[in-house]
Amino acid sequence: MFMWLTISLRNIIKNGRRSLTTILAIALGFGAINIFQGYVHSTYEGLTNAAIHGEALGHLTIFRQGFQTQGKLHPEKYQFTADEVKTITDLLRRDPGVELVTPRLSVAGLFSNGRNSTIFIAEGLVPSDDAVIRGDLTKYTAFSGKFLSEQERSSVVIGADLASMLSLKPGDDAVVLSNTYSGMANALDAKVTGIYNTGMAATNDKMVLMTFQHAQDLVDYQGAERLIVLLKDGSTATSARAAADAMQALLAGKGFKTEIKTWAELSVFYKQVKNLFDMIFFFIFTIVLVIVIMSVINTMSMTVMERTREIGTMRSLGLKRYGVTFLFTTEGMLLGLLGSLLGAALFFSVYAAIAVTNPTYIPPSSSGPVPLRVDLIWTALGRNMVSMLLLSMLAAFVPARRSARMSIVDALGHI
Amino acid sequence: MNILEFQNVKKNYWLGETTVQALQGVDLAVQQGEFIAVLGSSGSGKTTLLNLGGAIDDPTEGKVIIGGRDVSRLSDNRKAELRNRTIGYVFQNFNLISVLTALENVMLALQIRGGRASVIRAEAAQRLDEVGLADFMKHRPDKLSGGQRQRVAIARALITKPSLIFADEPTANLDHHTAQSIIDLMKDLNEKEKVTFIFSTHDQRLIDRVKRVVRLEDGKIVTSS
Repeated sequence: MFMWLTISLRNIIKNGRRSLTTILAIALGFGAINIFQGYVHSTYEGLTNAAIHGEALGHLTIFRQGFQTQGKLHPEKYQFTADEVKTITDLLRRDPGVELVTPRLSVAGLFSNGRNSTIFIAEGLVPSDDAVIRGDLTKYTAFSGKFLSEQERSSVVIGADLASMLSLKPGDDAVVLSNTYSGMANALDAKVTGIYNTGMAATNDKMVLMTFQHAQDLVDYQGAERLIVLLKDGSTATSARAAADAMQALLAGKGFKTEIKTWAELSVFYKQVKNLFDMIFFFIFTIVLVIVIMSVINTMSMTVMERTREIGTMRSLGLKRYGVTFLFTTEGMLLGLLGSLLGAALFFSVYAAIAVTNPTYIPPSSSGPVPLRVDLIWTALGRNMVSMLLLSMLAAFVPARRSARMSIVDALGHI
Repeated sequence: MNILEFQNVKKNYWLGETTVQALQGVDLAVQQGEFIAVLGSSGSGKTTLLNLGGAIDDPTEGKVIIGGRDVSRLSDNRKAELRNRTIGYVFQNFNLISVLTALENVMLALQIRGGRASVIRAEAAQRLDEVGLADFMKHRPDKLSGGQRQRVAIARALITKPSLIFADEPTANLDHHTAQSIIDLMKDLNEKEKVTFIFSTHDQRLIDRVKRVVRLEDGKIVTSS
C-alpha cells in the first residue's frame, strides 16, 4: 500500500501544473460547498430561533381540530373554552418534556391615535409566559420602551412603522377597534408602552402585541384560540413533530380533538427560506460535483495515457489488472484529499475573516441588517471530505479501468 | 524437464484488414540454465517469440508451456502470478519507473507479490550491490547513465529469483564499454545462478557469448544450435 501511495504522490508532484489545476478545482468546490453549508446552517439556526422565540411560536401550537380550515371564517366555533384551556394546560404540564403551556388569541381590527386609524393584527399573549418563550425582545430586534405587563392590562407594543405612521411613541394613548365573536363592534383604550421592529416590512406597519386579557376583552370571549407549548427539546423539526404526534394522541385519549402544528410547519418564512436554500445548495453541489468529476477524469486520462508504457512494465512484472486500477484510483483519491485539505483551509480562512470583520447584510423582506455568519460544522466538513474522496476515486476509476484492460504488448509499445 | 516449450506456435496480428503472421508454427524447447540468443532480421518474429515466452501475449494457435504449465489455459491473474514468480524481463528501453529510486524500482516486483517491506528492501539492496550499484540506490532513473539503468533493470528482473529472463535487445542503447559489462554480468548470473537467459539481439558481442543461437526468418525457426 505504501508503495502505491508513494508512486501516486510522486506522480502528482511530477505533473505539478496539471495536478495543481485539478486540486484547485476540488479545493474551490469543497470550500464553496462548506462555506454555503455553514451560511445555510447559521441562517436555519437564526430562522429557527426567530420562529420559536422571536415570532414566539414556541415549539408546538395546539388548535381545535378544523381551526386551520374553518377557523378564520368562524373563529368562535373553534376556540378553547376557559375550562378546556385549564384542563389541557394541567394535563400537558405533567409531561417532564414540557416547559411551558400558554394561551393565545389573535385579533384584527383598526388601530387609532384618536385622529387617524389604520388596520392592525394583534397577538394577545400572557406577558410572563412570553418572557419565557421570547426572552429579551431586544435580542431579536430593535425595541424601545417597556414590554407588556400583566399589571397594565391595556398595554400594547406596536410595530415601528405603525408607530411612525400614527406618530405614536411609548406613553401615548391609542384606541383598538374590533368585532366581538358575537358580531358586535367593540373599542377599547390602549396604552402604547413599547415600539419594536417586527423584522418584516409586511408586518411592521400593522403588528400589535397586547395582553391576553386585553384581547379577550376586545373579542368578548374568555377562552383561547390556541395553546402554545414550549418543549425542553423541540428545536429540530423532527423532534417537534414527534412530540406533536405524541401530544395529539394524549389529548385524543382525553376526548380533545386537536390539530397540533410545529414551529417549522407554522413559520411560512422558515419554510420558504429553507426550500429556497435547499434548492440552491442542491444546484451548487451538483455543479461542484460535475466540475470535480470532469477535472479528475481529465487529469487521470492524461496521466494514464502518459504512463501507458509504465502500466505495461508493471503488468509484465506481475501486477494484476485490478492492481493497475487500484494504483490510479489511489492517485485520484490523493488528488481529492489534497483538494479537500486546501478547500478546508480556504473555508477556515473565510470563517476566520467573517468572525473578525462581523459583516452584516439585509436579507429579502427584512427591515434591517442582520449579521452574516458562517457556522463551522465538523460533521459536514468530514462528510463533504469523504464525498470528495469518493468522487475523485470514482472519476479516476473510469480511465484506470480502461488502461488495465489494455494488452501488455500494446502498452509496452506505446510511445 | 524443459523450462520452456513452444509447440507448433502460431501468432497472427491484425493491422486493419491485413493479417500479419508473426510466427508460423514454431517448435522450440529450452532447458534450465541455457543462454540463448534469438536472431533474425526486422519483422522475423523475435520480439513476438519473446512476448509469448514471457506470457505477456497469447498464441493464436499452439501451446506455450512454461515450467510444465500450458500458459494459454491460464487466467489473466494466474498469468500475472506466473510472470511475477517465474519470469524476469529486461527491456531495450529499460522501462524503469521514473518516480522511483533505483532501490524502489528493484523492490517493485517483490512488492507486487507482497511481503514485509524491510525484507524486500534488504534483498533489493543486495541485488543492486551485486550489479555494482550500491552507491546509487537513492538515485532516480534520470540521474543514472544508460548502463546503470540497465543494471537496475537486471537487478529488478532477478529479485524474484525467476527461472527465465527475457531480454529484448538489452545492449542496443548502450555504448561499447557499458554493453560489454552488461553482457559479462548476465553471463556471470547465468553461470552462477543457473538462470535461463533468452535474448533477442543484433549485438555480435552477445552472440559470441551465447551457447545457443535460434535464428528466425519470416516467423519460422530456420536454425537452433
